[in-house]
Amino acid sequence: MLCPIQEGGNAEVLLAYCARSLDPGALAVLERHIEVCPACRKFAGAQRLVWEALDAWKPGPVSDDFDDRLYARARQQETERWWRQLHQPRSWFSWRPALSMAAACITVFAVFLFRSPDASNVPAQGSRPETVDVEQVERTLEDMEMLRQFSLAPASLETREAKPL
Amino acid sequence: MSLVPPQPSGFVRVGTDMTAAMAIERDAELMLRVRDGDETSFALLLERHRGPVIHFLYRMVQNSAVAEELAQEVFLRVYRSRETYQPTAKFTTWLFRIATHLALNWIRDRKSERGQESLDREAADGGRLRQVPDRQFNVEQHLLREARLEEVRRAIATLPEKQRAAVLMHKYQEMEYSQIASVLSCSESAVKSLLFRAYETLRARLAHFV
Repeated sequence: MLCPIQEGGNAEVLLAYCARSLDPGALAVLERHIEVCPACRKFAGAQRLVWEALDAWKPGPVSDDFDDRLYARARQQETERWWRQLHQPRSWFSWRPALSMAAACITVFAVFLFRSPDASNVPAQGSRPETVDVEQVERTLEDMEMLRQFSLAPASLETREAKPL
Repeated sequence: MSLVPPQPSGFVRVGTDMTAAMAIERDAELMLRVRDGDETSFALLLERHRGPVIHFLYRMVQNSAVAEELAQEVFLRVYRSRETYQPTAKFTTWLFRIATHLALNWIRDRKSERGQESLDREAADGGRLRQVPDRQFNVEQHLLREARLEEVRRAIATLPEKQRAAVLMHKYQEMEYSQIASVLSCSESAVKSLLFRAYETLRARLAHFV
């Protein structure tokens, strides 16, 4: 067997040996090696000492009311959590979607508001733009004057015929 | 993911593989029942792991009242997490990860609050209170035993926190390197290194016990 110490990085075999966690086959091989290797014997002796010292350190008993205190705290935390959920609307209702919705509504309303007055001015599809021609107006007025004169003319003729010569 | 990691060749723990696997499955099964609202399963889990968790925390912080307080927080966190529990890792790995996290936080907070000197004094006081007197020893033997225990406690207390946690899990919880690595969120080789350095320190400090 190669020496666990000289081999380097394999001291875990010696740690396992002292922790009594080696399988019987590996244990037998290592014990034969330790008999002839002073370095491993020294290492194993010192490690066994540490192991025994740690074995002697036994903690005391757990408090009798440990479970009762734990369950009381668990119940208290559950109650607090329930009340928190009840009193915090944010836990089930978030303002974020509502704000987004409001922003969208404002945008739509603003677009509608600013576009509505223009809508009446927008000409219907197919219509032509209306232009005012001054000459045409004058001609129309002249025509109307001429028609008026025509309408007056028969009346004057009738009065001339009725008068005895 | 398998709940039972393979045993390293050449090593065997005191309990058999089959027993360990059954215990792991039992823990996961109980926790799944807790998730489904079965309170008695939580009581069973508490019964199984209360002692190991409190003892681990006591050896980490060396104060019995603080250890019990931290252990309560560990089990409360387990209970609070029941709804989201998934048996993706060993239950004990998860449990000791919470316990180690709380213990390391407490130690760091304590260090920044008071300083190492007062911590040692209080640890010694707390430790003495926890020891059960053994009537088979006479006074001299009792004093010698107390002095040695005090040295062991001090030797453990002076180890860096991660080394301390690794040694306690390796020695008292009999955890494999892989499980310690999962608890401490590091590699197996890092765990071996932590343990080797920790035991080296302890061998040097406790060498005069011969």
